[in-house]
Amino acid sequence: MLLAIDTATRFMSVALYDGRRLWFEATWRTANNHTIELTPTIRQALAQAQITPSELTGVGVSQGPGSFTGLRIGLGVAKGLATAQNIPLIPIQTLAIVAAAVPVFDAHLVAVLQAGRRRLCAQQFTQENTGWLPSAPAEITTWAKLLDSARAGTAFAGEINDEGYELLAASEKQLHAVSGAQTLRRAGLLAELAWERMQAGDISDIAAVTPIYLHQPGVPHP
Amino acid sequence: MTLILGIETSCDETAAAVVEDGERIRSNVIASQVDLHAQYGGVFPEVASRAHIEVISTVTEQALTEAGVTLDVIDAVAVTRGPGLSGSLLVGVNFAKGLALGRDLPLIGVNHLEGHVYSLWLTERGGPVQFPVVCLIVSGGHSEIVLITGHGDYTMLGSTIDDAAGEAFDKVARLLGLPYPGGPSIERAARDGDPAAYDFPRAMRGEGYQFSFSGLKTAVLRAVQPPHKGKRQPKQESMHSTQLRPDVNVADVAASFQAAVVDVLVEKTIRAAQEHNTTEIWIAGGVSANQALRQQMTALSPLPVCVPPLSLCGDNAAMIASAGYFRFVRGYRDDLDMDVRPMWPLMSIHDTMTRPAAPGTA
Repeated sequence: MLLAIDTATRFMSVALYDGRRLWFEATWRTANNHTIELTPTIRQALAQAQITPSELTGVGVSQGPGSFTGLRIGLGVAKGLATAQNIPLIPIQTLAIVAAAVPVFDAHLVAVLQAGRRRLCAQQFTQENTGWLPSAPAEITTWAKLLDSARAGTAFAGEINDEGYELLAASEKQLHAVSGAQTLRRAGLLAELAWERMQAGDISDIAAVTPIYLHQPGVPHP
Repeated sequence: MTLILGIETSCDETAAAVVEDGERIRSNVIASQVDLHAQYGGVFPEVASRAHIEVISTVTEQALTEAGVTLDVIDAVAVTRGPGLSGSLLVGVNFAKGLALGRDLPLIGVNHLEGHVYSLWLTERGGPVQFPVVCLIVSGGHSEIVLITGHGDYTMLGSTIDDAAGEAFDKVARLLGLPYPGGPSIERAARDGDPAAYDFPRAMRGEGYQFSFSGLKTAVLRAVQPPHKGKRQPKQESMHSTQLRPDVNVADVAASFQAAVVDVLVEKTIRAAQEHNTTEIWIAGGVSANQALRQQMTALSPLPVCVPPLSLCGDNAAMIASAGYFRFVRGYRDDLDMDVRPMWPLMSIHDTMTRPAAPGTA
């Protein structure tokens, strides 16, 4: 049984997955109460699924990009749980979880997160057989820059704010937003990605897993 | 035998320790970040948080290994909940929650200042502690005089109204071009200096138990930096400048500054002890490593003075495990929804136990 934890942004999510079925999943928007809400929700998930922590075989965690503090909260709990049960910790990039929610179609996809101060964290994906593959690294940008460089017909997924919806609607490049339900960053999808990595033996040392930050302290913001 | 795993990440040390029955250290592992912060002349909070999440699991594993135990025999996890840097506290608290949840262990949030008090319980002594005692807690973030009337029973007698004593050491070290951390740097420089060379102010002397070190820092600045002519240029005279007057003797300034800090700390602590009829004076926290402070307190105090060994002066997790033990045996538990408390005053255990533990939380 794999436990998946995502606290990369204000939207947080917890799931339990056995390789085939989701036993529990909760996704909600927190008023920045990640530390208060995360572990009680995991306890509830285990109780609901009637599972003890010793039955866990792995922990998947959203690695970033995202809120620095949010990432460390999820990773802190994940490292604690993985250390407690001596089980693998599998980090998954946040925007890959967003892309995993979107049905595959023949166009480009841009997954976004809110990065604060009207900036976005964005990554471009292209269709590859049955899934989305990143075609560029994640970067910090703005809606204006993102839409300026977007190719016609590109779909946008993830945390699209009101400004984003308005600019997408006003664009003449046939850009569109993926529907809300298909763009929710769910720990169930994180669990599937992590399970795949775990089965492939792609396991990191607990201590070696660190968040992906996209910004270095002391460096001015772009 | 009760074994508590302590975790401490309130500032710039990532620490984990195993303590037996509150008084016997089985392991005490500290990963210091001092080299990371030296280039900034102080603790850079985001840098501290990043370093904590990188080493927290390794430090904890090492503490268990060095204690010769596994999580199977640990009775509870105690973790610093505050006061401290929010981003740093979050790493330790969330890691501790993961451990507690993963092993169904009781979780105990500990006040960092209470931890410093309990560094004295880990210090060898002749006989049992007789309450009340007065404890001076002095570090980079705190300058407190606390009256202790029993395990977990505290009365805050005084604290700083501006800079902490250790903070003043760091800032004056920066003014004098001495390396971070300032405490050891100033102490080293002061060895060859004349403590009477400069008459720096002893703020709020004789009144109550409050401290103020901000004016002292400015007095040092005025004494060492060149006088400005006309309009002051930005950064010409400031805490960021290390430009010194040519006639400044760094050793004399360091010794005189240190003497001013020590005079006030010692005078107020001894007066607090006498006015409250305590049996002993304790000193804890990073600045308790300062030899001038230890010597002067011991020389002037009519009461026995207890200080922790140097290894327990700075932030460590053994003191958190010890404080956690005394809470654990009194039935104190925290729930998994425990949040960090970056501004948490030292409170007696009776005040923090007002909320009963939720059912099913050990």
